[in-house]
Amino acid sequence: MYLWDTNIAVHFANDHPTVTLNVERVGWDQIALPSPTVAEMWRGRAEFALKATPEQVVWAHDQLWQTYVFITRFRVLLFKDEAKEEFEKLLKKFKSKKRYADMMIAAMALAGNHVVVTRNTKHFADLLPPAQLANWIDEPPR
Amino acid sequence: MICNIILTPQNGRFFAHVAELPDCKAEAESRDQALALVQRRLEQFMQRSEIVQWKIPDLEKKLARPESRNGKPQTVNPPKLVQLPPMVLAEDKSVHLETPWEFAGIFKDDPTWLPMLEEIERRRDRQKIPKLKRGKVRKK
Repeated sequence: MYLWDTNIAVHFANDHPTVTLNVERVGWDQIALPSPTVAEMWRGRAEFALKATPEQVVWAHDQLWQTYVFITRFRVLLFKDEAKEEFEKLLKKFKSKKRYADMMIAAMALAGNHVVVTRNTKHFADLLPPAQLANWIDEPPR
Repeated sequence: MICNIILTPQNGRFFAHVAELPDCKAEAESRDQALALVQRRLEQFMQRSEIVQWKIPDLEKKLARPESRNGKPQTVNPPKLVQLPPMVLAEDKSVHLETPWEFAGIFKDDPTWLPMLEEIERRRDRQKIPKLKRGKVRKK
């Protein structure tokens, strides 16, 4: 499956044309949100709802709700034991040289033989073989 | 109808009363005696008394709309209940999902959406490998 990094999910909801083209190419049943992506989007929206100004508060909570419904339209891949094994290998190899959440998502892809879709391919280049990495925003569809 | 008999031993005696009818009570030296007595009281009560139900519309209104402190009736709107749609796990192929197409561009006019992504990236950069926190041991 194609695991969307947070930046891809955000750009899809921001109407990015090449993300849409790639979705049409692979089909929705091949796309999932890894749980770190869900957690980051949810944290961002939840913080906005809790810190919204009195003028924004109604709107902010509505956006929180919309984001929840948005997430429920995707299949969500949970971080499980198989991913933890890969995660520990990556942590041992890269320690703090790589970003923690990047290593989480990469471990999930390695464990399930999935493709990580992200705009930050440079961050993932050492973590995954090229066949398991795709950029649906800046590179032409493969 | 089932009624509840409350039976309490006290100072070597047994006190029984019908929970729904507090005046229907009895006292005896044994548990069985107290129960028999209270049953008889209940039967007597049922023979000579009738039950009248009285509807008080004003009271119903008051209960539904409690008055606020300033004496004006408070308007009480029933809360809107929203059914949370469930998140679907990737391995659960039994669930048919509606495609997210209608969400393409849904937040494009939201001025906080892309800045949120920038903040997410910053936080990813900053996140160190967390360590398990242990409780502090107090020195004696």
